Amino acid sequence: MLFNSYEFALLFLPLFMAGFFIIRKALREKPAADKVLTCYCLAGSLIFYALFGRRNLIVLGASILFNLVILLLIRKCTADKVKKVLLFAGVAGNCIALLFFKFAGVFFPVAISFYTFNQISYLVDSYREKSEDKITDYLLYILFFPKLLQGPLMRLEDFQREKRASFEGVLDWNMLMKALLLFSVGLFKKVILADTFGAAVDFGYSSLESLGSLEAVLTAVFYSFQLYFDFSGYCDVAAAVCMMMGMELPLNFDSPYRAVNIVDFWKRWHITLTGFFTRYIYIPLGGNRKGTARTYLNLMIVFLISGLWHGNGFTFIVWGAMHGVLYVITRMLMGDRKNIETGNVFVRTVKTVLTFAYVTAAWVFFRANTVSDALKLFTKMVTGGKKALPAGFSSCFQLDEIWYILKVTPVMKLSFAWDVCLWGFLAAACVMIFFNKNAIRKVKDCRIGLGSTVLTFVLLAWSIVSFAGVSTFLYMNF
Amino acid sequence: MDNNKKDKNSIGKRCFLALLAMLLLFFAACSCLVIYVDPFFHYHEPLEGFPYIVDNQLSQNPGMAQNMKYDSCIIGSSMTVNFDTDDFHEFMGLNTVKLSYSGAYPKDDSNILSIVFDRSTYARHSRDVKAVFLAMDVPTMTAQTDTTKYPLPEYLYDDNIFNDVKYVLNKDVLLQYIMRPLIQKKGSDLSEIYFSWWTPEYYNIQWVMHTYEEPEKNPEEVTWEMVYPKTKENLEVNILPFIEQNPDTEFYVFYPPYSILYWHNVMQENSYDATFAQYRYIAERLLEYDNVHLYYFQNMEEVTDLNNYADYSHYKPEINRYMVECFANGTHEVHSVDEMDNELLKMKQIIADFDYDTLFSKDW
Repeated sequence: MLFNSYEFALLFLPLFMAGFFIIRKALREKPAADKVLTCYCLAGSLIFYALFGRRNLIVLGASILFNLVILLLIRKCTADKVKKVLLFAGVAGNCIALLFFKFAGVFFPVAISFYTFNQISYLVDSYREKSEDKITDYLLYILFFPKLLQGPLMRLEDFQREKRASFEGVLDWNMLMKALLLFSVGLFKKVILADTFGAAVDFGYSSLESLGSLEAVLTAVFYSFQLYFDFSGYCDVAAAVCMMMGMELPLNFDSPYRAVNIVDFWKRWHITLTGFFTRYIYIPLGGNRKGTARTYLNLMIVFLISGLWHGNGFTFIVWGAMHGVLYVITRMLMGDRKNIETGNVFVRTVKTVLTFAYVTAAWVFFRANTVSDALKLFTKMVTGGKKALPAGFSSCFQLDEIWYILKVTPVMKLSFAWDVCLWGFLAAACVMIFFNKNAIRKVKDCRIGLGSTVLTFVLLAWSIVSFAGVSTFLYMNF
Repeated sequence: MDNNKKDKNSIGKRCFLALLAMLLLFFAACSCLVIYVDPFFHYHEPLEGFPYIVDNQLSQNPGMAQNMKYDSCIIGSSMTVNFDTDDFHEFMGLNTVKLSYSGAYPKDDSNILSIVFDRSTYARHSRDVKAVFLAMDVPTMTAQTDTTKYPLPEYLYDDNIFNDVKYVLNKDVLLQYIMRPLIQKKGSDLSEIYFSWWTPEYYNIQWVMHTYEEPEKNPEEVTWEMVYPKTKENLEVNILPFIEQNPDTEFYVFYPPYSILYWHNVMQENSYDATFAQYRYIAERLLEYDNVHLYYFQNMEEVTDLNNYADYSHYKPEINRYMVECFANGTHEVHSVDEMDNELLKMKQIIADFDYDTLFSKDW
């Protein structure tokens, strides 16, 4: 079940939440509360995932079974060497399964990249910290539906802490309204913004031969926007669902396109994935403890693996390499300086624009079907010439609800009337991306009242009636 | 501090109730409006005087088949979109509804015929089906029997009322099919719905040849044994059951008059003999039924003149009108397998006599 579906927004979520609040209140301070609520959340999560079909469920079940066996063996075993071998076998098994589904071309199970990383994280942390969690705790950590499909990736101890806070908490109406506001913002980002930019991007990439320079540049920029709104929209919804229950998920996006260099970018973009790679790949490889050259090599390895994780084409390796190379160069230039935020407003603005341009260029490889297509888009940026934006490109932004109103206003008399929605979307996206605070922080700070309630209503209603025919979340395929 | 939290909680609760009320009211209003106007005719017959826009075959055909008053229907691919249903009234006295699916596979025909012959619908309660006009596109008869050309909006095809939420809370339905016609005050002319390439400028040889993409020559011959199993299966699964189960309905099945270029494609695909065998086999199976009227239009004189076409297969609306005349007076009707063999022989002769070399030697 997708977050941007009628089934989720109108049926599953309200029923699940109502049940959760009732059980939590009924069992408040009773010994069985934790067990019952854990089972309730597990049942809900299984229903949520089961609706993706039997094949997906079987693969998830197999993954859980395999990891459970390894986990129990590690716990039972006393010899350190055997434990290490078991851990290695567990991690290798998970990686092989992930690689198999990524490259074998049979089918790609929903969310396998994310739950596999959670499995690895759980195995390694259990091995290191010799934890003795209950099986139901492990299952809920893997299956918990708000973070199952696309993360955020979370460490076991953080999840357990948040789970306790949630199960022992009481219904906070003020927080519930904030969560609903965040939920509506997340849906709006996905359904209205990401999918609208996505339609234009699809148009651009499907007509590479005939692109003009402006259209080629906009296609690349719009993909940067689409990806951000899509994934951060999903994360906002996930965070909102947890907030309703009194849990806090780790921040995954922190205004990433406001980064002043690539190192800064990776502290803001998909933060929990960066954390995972640091903890489970970069540090085990030696991190920065084995000299400067080795540090840079380790960084490059991490970025190449990140590229592979995101997709199975050569384009993803190029994307990873582009980030890796600039990251290493930036680290070299930064030396020991940890403080990223240097320079006055002008310098910061220039740095931000350049970083965004580079990240956007790398996303071109991420989106293109082949390296040759990506290069074609770059070529068109230079050689495409001055052409009017094609109607098919501009019309992606002419949402009926906006376009019908514009058509009866004087705006239609302007020479650029046909493109006015496109520029409006671009301007709104730029404000949200470059000038606004992160949605989660903003919602936390906001005061609940009439204004926020009306805003929640408008965004929710608009998004829900726009569900039919909308695409799936991009990151679910990774 | 506690009081402050209590106040916030109390405001939060009131805001939540207000939000809930607003959402329920909004969703109820949208649903009521969609159900009342019902632009896809999913729940009831069309409202008197509402300017319905009908331009979406996948979404509107099932509703039209269920809830409109008609005694005959047009089924098939884009070969049927340029029929004017007024012609059927003029020549045959029938009240016909067009239920075409561009690019239809046999399964698409079967899906819509299932609804047409569903006795529980308003359409069947009001009138019986006197006639079905079915375009028999032989090239699609090797498709999988359960494959449709495009994914269907299932919620408009099944009886599950819960997934109707995708219809009643749908921005496109509200704005494009309720608000737009209300503002424009002009709906579709039902006799001409789904018309494509209907203006004369589309029909000329320059355009046809300029846009024609010749298939690559297939080095391996496609044999009758290769096409027979799927052709048989599609007939038996998707077409013949409707003919058998509805003996009181006359089925006018016709082979659409593709242009002579279609046969060039067949030769390039190396399936010449297999294709002719398919035509014969389908005719043989259909002619077993008394309620089938089979028409072979492909050896009409017009097929060799590409000025009658918009591409290698789509003919101009005048030919559609001529076909309706034929349905009424029996011209081009094939009554037996022998007659069909004769028609196919004529077709082969036309192909043999046609000067493809001259056609392709020109720069269009």
